[in-house]
Amino acid sequence: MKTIELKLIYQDNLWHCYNEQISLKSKELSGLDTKIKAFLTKTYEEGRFKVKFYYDFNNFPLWMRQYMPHYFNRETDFSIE
Amino acid sequence: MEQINKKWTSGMSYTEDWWSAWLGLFFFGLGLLTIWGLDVVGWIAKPKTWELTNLLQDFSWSKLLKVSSKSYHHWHPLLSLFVTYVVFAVTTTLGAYYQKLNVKKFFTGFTIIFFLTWFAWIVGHEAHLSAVDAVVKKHNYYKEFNLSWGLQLGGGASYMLALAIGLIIGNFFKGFARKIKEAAKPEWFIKTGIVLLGIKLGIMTMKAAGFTYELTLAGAAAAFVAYLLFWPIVYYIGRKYFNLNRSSAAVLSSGISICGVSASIATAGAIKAKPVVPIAVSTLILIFAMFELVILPPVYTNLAPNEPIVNGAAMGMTVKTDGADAAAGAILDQLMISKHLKQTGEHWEEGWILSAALLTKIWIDIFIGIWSFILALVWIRNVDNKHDKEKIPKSEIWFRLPKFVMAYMLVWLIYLFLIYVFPDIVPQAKIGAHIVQGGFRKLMFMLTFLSIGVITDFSKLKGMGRLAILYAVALFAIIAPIAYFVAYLFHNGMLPPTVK
Repeated sequence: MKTIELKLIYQDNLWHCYNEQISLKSKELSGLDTKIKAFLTKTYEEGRFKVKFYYDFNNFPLWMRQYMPHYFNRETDFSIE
Repeated sequence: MEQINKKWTSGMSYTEDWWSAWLGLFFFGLGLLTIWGLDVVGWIAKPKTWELTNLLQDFSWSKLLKVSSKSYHHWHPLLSLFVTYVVFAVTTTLGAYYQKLNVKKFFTGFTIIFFLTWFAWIVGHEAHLSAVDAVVKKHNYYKEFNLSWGLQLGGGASYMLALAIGLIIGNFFKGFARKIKEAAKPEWFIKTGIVLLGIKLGIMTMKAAGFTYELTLAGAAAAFVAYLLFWPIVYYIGRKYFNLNRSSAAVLSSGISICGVSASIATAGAIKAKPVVPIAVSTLILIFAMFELVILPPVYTNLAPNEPIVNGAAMGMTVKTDGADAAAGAILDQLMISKHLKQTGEHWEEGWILSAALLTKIWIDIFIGIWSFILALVWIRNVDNKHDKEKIPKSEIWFRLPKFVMAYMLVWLIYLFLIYVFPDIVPQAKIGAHIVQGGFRKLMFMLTFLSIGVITDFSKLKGMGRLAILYAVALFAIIAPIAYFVAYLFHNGMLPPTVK
């Protein structure tokens, strides 16, 4: 299984995930998943993928970071057949 | 700079949470050196009880300040204050540097906050404000200064004064507040103070081991019961009567019923809410925490003067955010001790009521990581219906676990280890412990009081609408009474030891 790591932020009412190869935006996280699947289908013929999202906490207001230093990480599996 | 948590070591150098652990453990380590006869902490300045007329007749800095230990008795009090400033400014600015804060702004802001804090601390020790008409440690300052009147607030006077100065700056001098905000870090200061309070728990264990364990377990049980009651009730009311969507109701329920801002961020993260939700809820929590902090300590002191530990535990479950809870606990500690002393002549030992307030809160803080993890699983399976594709990494529990609590427990465990394995060195260890727990810890608390006031802006309540109404209803009609009932159930009859 191939692992893809992405950073995640929320800006201008959109979720934005990105790394050096990918930059995708969507109103909902499920929309990001759909776009990632489309990207994987377009790029690879087949395979199983684990996509890891790491939320960049720097995206939170500075005054809030002192209360909790973590928002969330998520992992989603994709199969391209 | 990005701030992502990938490895278990992520954040060790740049989060305030980790820095509270580092700073607290560093000061604790310095205090331990007295075991080998090395006093490197006794220079810290402490305020003294003074009286205005007496001071004006013959001014002397030594009437206002003193050094903490005999090893430094030859130091001028101002030298002691200056060294205190240098050590705290250097260590916190170093932390600010690693946290990627604006170091110049932080240093300037910290310097202003430090000296304003000391101003409040010294003024709060004026005998008309603080002295209680009873013998405390062989002194009755009320009689010694021939007072005809006095508020008899004990150490609470300094706390309330620092809070008032902070609130005045935060609400009436907003330009000035913005200038010093970089250094107004109540959570960092209080978490460091709480790590140092682990020393107090250690000292308390030396004196009354059974009672300390009982207090700790009762705090855990009460926090657990409170969790199970608060969250579903607030969630149900939010959904049923205030028509909140699932995300807002869940985030608000955690914020109101668990541990404030940290719980609302953790819950929002767990259910993957858009960050605007916890930001709005957190603003509300901070403002309401200030109301709780100002209103509850005098109310509990007057309504139940004979239930100090129940009052402390109830405070821990009611007041949100660690900073406001510790601040409220510290005020309650002082108000209740002073009231009891005035009425009975019996002097309850300082710190037990505060510890009761903090122990329930600390258990709540520990549970939040586990609670968020469970909530995330429930949400994915029952709300998002994505159980086959999305996974919640177990590391989420670790990232949300408050590291300062680990340091607090570690400090306590080290003391337990010393008590049981090396009882002979305990008297030497206590010398440094008393200085760090007294001088260092109290200064961190005082810095918290002023900072929490600086960052509280009541005008932000405007436009909060039904969220604010739900918060007020839930807090005062549901959380406070249930918290008091649960606290009473687990803590009734517990009393702090008295000072001989």
